[in-house]
Amino acid sequence: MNNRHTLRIFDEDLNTLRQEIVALSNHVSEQLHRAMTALVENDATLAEQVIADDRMADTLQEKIHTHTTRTLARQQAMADDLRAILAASRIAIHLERIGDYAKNTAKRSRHLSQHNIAELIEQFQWMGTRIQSMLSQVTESYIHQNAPLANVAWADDAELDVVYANLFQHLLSAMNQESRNIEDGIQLLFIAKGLERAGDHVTDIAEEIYLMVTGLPLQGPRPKISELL
Amino acid sequence: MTQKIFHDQHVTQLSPKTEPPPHAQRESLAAEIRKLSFWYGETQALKEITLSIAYRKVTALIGPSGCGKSTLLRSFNRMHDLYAGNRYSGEICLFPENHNLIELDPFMVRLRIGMVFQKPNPFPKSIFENVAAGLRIQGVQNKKLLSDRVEQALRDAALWEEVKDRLSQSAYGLSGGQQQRLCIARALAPQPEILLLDEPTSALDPIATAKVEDLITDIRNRFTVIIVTHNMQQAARISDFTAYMHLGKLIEFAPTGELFTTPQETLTRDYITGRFG
Repeated sequence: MNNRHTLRIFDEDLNTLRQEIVALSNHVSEQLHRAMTALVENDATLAEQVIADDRMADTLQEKIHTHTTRTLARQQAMADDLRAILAASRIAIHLERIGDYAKNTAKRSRHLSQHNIAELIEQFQWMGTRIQSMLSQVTESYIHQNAPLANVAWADDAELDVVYANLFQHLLSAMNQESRNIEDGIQLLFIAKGLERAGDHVTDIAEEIYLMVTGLPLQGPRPKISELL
Repeated sequence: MTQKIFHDQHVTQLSPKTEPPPHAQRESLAAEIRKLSFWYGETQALKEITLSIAYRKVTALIGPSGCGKSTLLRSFNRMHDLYAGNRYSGEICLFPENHNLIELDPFMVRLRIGMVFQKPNPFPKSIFENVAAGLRIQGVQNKKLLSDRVEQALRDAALWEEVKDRLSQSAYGLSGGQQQRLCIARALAPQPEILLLDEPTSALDPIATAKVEDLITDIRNRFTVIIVTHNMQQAARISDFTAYMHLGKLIEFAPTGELFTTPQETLTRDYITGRFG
């Protein structure tokens, strides 16, 4: 298979898009990592930095949007090229949303007055690490056009849903038992839900990559939460 | 070679690929090419092409220069017979009779199959007489019928409003785009079973091109159209099925939407994405 276009500028456009997607993914992954650190270590300064850095994710996403529009306008993209351009546009939107959830985590971490439900923090950490791992997988699959790897990340989201369901129950119980847990509990519930949604966005990215590489929608059985509990 | 054929409105995989489709599927076919080979003297230009042409649909033939797409198109109206040393093997069967047009009288073939070329080639006659030419050959003499058929053909070619007040004037007074639509009207007037278009817009500006594409879209439900085009976006816009050819072989044939988004063959993908050569 010939991977170079006769028109070199088309290769340059596609390479630029690829590099921008990888840059945005790396930025968002780092943003999430630091948001989780701010949460676990109750580090308000770091949280402020994460919030401020979200502007960079927005800027990168807008840049990708501009480049996809420009590439579509000036190249007569077909087949896998067309899918790659459309996928870049959609993946950027999902990545930017994951960045928003990282920012939201950082924001809410500033309002946690106490960590008397510290035993749950490990589960939050696990969720953060899992999302980063899934992000890393989809980024690798994007770079190397590896559809099976995208499939792995897609399937990994199921465990994230299980941990979220457990967290939800624990937080509910903690709030029921002690009314002084309610304020933190609500903040943590929103954080947990945000992380669960971030996982959903990674699975959406995996689906985009699978479609981009194979031309086929990613289908098939993914473990249901009820089967895993 | 990847090939898909038509089964009513559905598309199914044909296997084995060179076999003709089952009889039940022929109602949706206007013609079928079976193992067609063609030689310009000693040079083989077509190599065992097997291809189904859907009834009242637009089929586009694409491929790089020298791939055989125009040779294939011209086989349909037996243009190659005009030159010595050219020879065919295989069949082009017209439905519903299932007659092999290679064996028919070329004159009779051309009455059933219309053709429009890259450059407009109106006759040195009036606009009316250009369109009426094929009808007169068919033996239409009734003035009213002749007039009605000319008007209908000019309407089909989206030219009527522009020429209705000057039908007796020379066709050479029309612009290039109008002349090409006149040639399409001339080809449509005898109500051909198949209309062949050989790069019909390559000599036209974008506005004239858009008008020709529009008229092809308008007539697609009433005529079977086969178009050769170098403009892939044009093929993607106006055709229902697309065949990709390379070095005289049919590489892939599929519904246009599929061929341009998910081609199955590497050669097709490399060509349509601009990675060719």
